[in-house]
Amino acid sequence: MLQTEREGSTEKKRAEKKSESATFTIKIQFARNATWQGSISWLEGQKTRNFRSELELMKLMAEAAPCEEELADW
Amino acid sequence: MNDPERGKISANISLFRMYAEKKDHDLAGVLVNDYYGFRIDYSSVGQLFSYLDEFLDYVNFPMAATRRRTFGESAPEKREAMPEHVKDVEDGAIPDRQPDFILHVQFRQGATWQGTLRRADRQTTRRFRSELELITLIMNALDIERGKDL
Repeated sequence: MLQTEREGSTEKKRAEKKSESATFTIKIQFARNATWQGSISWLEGQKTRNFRSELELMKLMAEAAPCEEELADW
Repeated sequence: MNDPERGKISANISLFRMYAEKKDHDLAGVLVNDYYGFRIDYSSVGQLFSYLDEFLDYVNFPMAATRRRTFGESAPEKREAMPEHVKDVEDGAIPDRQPDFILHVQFRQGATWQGTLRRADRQTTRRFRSELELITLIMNALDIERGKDL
């Protein structure tokens, strides 16, 4: 049983680990104040959060799947 | 660069010369603040909003009316140091032309931004009520083929 618990904990940590890819279900419920409001469900992390704007939506997605890119160069 | 932590913060801290060009179906360029002497380079729309929002959180102006939600259980920590993406204005090249826009973020309500966007070449100004509306204005101004313009 102890080993099963460890495996479950490891699986949970693996699911929550940030990676380059992530799967979301986005439900846009309202379009008020020139932006969107709704909910986003992160499949791998098994979490759902409400968002009040596209900016908040984008930040939630970036939190789950951050990416590092080189800065633009003129 | 004038450290916002040492001097008084004025509304000019969120006023930027904005250089932008469409690149790989996205947006890339630089924001320049002449009053405080710093720049924020970005290579995508996501970086533009992320980097600028991080800076506005750091100086806490305009003060956000709402706290950002996260997938984590605890509230996001307050940034104690200047974000790394904010650099001295001389730390990189600036296009040798007039800026494409003058961006002024005046308020941060409803987990989004409100302010004005001035198109430098036509001397026209539009107000935006969200970052979604802001990016729509920018992309429409840069995309002549779409027809809908400032």
